[in-house]
Amino acid sequence: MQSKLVSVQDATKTIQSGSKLTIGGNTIRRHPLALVREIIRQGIKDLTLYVWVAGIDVDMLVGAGCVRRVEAAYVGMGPLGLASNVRRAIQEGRIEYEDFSESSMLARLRAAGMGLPFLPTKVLMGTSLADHASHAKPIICPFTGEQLYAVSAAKADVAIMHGYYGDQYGNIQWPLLRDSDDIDTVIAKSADRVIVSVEQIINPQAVLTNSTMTYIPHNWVSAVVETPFGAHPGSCDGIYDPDMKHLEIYSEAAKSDLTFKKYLDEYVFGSAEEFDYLEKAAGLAQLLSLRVNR
Amino acid sequence: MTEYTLNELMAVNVAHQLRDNEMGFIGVGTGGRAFTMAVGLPIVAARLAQLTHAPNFTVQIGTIISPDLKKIPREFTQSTLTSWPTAARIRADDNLDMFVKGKVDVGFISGAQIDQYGNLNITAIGNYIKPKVRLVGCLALPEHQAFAQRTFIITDQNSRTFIEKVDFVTGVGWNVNGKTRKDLNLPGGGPTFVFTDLAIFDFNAEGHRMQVASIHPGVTPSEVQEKTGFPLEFPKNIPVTTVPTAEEIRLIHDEIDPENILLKY
Amino acid sequence: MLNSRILSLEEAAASIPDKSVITMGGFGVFLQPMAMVREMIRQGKKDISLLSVGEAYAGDLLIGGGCVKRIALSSFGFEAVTGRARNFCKAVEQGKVEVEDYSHFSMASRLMAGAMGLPFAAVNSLRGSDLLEKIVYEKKFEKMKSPFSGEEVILLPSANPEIAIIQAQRADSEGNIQVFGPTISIEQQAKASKRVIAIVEEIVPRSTIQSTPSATLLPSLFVDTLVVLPYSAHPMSSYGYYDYDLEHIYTYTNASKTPETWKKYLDEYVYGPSDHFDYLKRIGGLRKIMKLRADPLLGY
Repeated sequence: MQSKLVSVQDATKTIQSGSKLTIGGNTIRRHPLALVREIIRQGIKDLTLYVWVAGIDVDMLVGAGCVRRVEAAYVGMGPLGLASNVRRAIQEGRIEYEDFSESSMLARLRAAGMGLPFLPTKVLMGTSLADHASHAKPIICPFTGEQLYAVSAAKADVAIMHGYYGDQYGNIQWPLLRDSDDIDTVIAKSADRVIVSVEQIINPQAVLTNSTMTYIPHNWVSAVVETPFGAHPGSCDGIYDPDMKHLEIYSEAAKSDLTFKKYLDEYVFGSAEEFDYLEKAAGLAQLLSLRVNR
Repeated sequence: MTEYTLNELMAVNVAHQLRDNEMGFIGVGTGGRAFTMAVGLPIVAARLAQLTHAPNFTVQIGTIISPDLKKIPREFTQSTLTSWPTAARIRADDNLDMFVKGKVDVGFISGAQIDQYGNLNITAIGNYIKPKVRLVGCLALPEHQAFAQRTFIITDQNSRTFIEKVDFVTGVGWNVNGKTRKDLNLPGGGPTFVFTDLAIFDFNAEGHRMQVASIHPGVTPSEVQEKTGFPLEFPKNIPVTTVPTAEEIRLIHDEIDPENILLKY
Repeated sequence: MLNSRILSLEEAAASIPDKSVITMGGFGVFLQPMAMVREMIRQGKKDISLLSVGEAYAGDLLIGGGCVKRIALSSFGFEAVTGRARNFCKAVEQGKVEVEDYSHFSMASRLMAGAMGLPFAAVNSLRGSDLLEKIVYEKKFEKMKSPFSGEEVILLPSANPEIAIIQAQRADSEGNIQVFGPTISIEQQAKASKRVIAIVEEIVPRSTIQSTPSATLLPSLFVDTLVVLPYSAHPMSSYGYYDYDLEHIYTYTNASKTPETWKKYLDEYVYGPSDHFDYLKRIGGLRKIMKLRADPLLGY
């Protein structure tokens, strides 16, 4: 195994403007926001996002003007409601957007992971989603003759995701107690390259003796970076809760272009690196108070 | 006479419709009134069913399968959900496969718009391409409506939400543009009941149009019609919604939701 | 112990009177109540007597802060890391503190006897050494023939500190204290003392304690005051939570070489910080804290 441990800056540099990107996590949970903030700092533009149940990750990228197109089953802020930047961008026609349901978006990402051009699904029958989706076409099953939709593979150039623990080789591990409400393994398989940020780089020996906890093996991974509190202000379940204080600041700021620009200037562009961001956005005492009891 | 709140009235009536050995699916991740309708109320109903007529009724909350409803978290944060004692936590992709295979008996759902056939919209209001109000997307509402054996719609009622035709069909009810569920090859059982703050509705056998099943105490039929954007069918003798028993209210207050978290809003 | 006994660091330190006889938990480079010592120095505690086993860093810092009058100890040294504990050694050399030497075993035996409510401990060691001959300020021992075998044993007075200051990993809100990694003589120190102040990294639910009862070193009935403060053993380690901070330990030991550099150290890291989190900021902030995190499987 070869070390894939790099800095956030170096990992992000490999993402080209115009790329197709897929992102792990769910609503305000375990998104790779340290990587997202660095994408914004580096001015990477014209991204196409293939995401599942997305949230602050997509909202931040859209609000920063990095995104051309989104294909998703959801973009929202969980208990904080709508993702205001995305909502405005759609209502004002500034981004292209294609809606899918959870299982049909999953089918598109799975098709990519399986190397297939499409997968069939029943779920879109009769919905308005099917009328508007360019990546869903009616087909007849060649065996049973029943009507289905084919949904095309959502093949991304790069997957970015945030994990709990990983070793320098890119073996990414769950903790024993976790919330499992995401499709990170599917997302990892769907892309050509996978960049994983983790809360903590651990001793490879710990991985070898505890291998059933590995959910993304090193051979799927192109780069691994260590970003403590890398999902902040979202949560990393089992390690820390969402920072509701900062999420409310975020949600308020996201309500207009002007206030969100100020937010980005203050917290993203105003922080040379992630530790500076964390000090500014939360501070040591607040961050330590977010940690989940063991 | 037993005192009860509107939320308790709705929860008790949802509970009455749950059957032993079924599994209900409850979503996660909303706040305020939406939390009560999508999460709090179904949990209360499920636990009440367990404690009364359906001891083996279980729920799935997100990817958490059969959590111990004796130990409902006192607050719904990421860490309390993560540490809630439960039979299994499966991956979300496996979870959706279960859905598609029809393993969900009762889907608890809600919507921003609902029409006379139980079609639901949670995606966009107005023109889809240039929407007046863009909402969150679709989540698993299409899966609920397509694959669950029965769906229960729980929502507040007014003439803006109860409309002739939804702007966008996110989840399919009984009929879309003249096409039935059968025409559309949808295997699930479709919407069975609509529980609102005014009344309970079901769908007639012939055309699968929404009809009044019962009206809550103190509500008039004209009030119900006024807050509905399409003509409703009323039965000749309109039943009054069953009110909670003293024991049901005691169970909710003392055992299920003593700190009034689930039915707060 | 009740919930109402959870105090802030400042409140808990304020409850320690001048001239108290105290013992502090920990050994080597782990589990010493460093944040509490820093607060005691800030509050200007005077004439403290220490009954110590090997809590060298906590002891050396408290001495360097001018709080200590007398020490009975088994050893204060920084062992493999940086050698002598200079504040301690200098204070003894300059006659600023009274010192009484014991061995690890004999000191632990005194505390064990104290914990058992006995008036003395009987040991077979120390015989013939100057530990028994060179006595500074207290009656240290008595010889006695065993009434059973007739052999001679050394009797040491049991130790009953007024206050034990214990650094541990976690507790529930009732004060059931769990310690992971080496527990050294923490249990005896606490049980021998009239009052116990415990500082933990975090409060966990009762159910967590109940599911791991064997890790509970001190049940709540032994605990009077609980302080909850993350990274409060820094620069010492807390097994399963964080490693010791070697970089800062060098800063510390280098600073303790001259009175000038030591004064600067105290100003920067003890008197200067507005609170514990400000201290953590000064020792390197989040970057350092994250670097010190324990490997979840290895525990350090």
